[in-house]
Amino acid sequence: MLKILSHTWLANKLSSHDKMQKYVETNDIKWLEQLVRQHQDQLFGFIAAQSSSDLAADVCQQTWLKVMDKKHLYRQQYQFKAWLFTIARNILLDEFRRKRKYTENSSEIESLATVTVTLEQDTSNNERVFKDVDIILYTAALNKLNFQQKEALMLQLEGFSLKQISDICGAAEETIKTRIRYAKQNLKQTISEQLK
Amino acid sequence: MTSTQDELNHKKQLNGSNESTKCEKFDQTLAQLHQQHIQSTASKPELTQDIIAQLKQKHQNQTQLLKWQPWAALTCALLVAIISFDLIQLSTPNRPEQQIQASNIIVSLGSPVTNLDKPDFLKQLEAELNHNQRLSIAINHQLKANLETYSVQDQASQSIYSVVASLSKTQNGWQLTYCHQTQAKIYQNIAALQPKKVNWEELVTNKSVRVFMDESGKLLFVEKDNTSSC
Repeated sequence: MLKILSHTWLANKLSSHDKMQKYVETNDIKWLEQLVRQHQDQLFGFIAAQSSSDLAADVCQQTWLKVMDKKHLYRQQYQFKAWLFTIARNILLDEFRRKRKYTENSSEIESLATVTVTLEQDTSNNERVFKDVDIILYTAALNKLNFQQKEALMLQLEGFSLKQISDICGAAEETIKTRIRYAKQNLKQTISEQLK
Repeated sequence: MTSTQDELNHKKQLNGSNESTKCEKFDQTLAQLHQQHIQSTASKPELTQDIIAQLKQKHQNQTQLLKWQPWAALTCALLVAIISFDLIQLSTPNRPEQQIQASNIIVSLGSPVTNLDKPDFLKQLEAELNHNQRLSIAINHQLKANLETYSVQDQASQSIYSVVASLSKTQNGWQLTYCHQTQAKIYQNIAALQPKKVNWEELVTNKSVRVFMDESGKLLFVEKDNTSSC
């Protein structure tokens, strides 16, 4: 009883990184279980936003199994959440490639970059847009973003730094910045069009 | 002019701060929407439970595998060692003796082979070996006996020598011409020899004779010798 209590207390005190370290050291499945409970919702949300609920569930399962298999590769300097999301993203891309759903097109960003939104000029309209917007509109607008922009934006909203996002996506920080900026602009444009 | 520029700068600053306020508001709204979006798309509790169950199952499998792994590795290592040893023993081409020895060991390690079970070639081989063994023992005995006889004779007797010669009559009397390379050593007790008188008339001229001498070259006697010639 005392052991369980102390374990729970310790688990609450520790960061995700520490829990992962404990799991690597002790191979005690309890630590991994806690990490699953802590991060599963965010992971699922991130993957589901870029695919579908079914695929997200599949990718999440694969991701956690991979965490178990590759635990020996986890290093002191890693941040657990970033590591987890990197694994999940790679699995998702593999799934896309397998299903021929994802075709990476570098010119896609450039073409979208020309869509410069002048929405900021209409201040009153802009404020109205984001007061009235609901989650359905937001999700619809989000789904209209291309994969790379959506991915970068979602990761930023998850609280990752530019450096971490660039590590996860395997792109330069400047590229990530551009993707996020255009993602936001496109999001505004889509929502305002839908509200008109 | 200056006041106009100041006004412009002030306006720009106001616009800038306006822009940044707008951006902050937008980001805040976006964050809120994202939170709502995450909540709306949150994974089902069953999925989390499924994942945990799957992980536990895999962990259990891995642990069980780890338990048996050392024993399995040990068994495999032993098997490999035995097979390698056998292969090395049987496939050494430059050591036929060892190969034969190895096959002997294999036979001797098995149940003893009775005479009835033995193949014909093996029976024949064994018979020859026994015969050769008996023969070698007999030869050794013979040699031993001969050696003893020889040593007794050698000690008891002084050697005499014989040479083949041709006899001829000259004006000065009888002359012996020794034949080349006809000298022979004869083991005979010189004391037992009776002095023989040489009857020179019996010897035929121009015929071979055998001349006997002692070690000092003293002529002991001469015999007719019809078998040898110079």
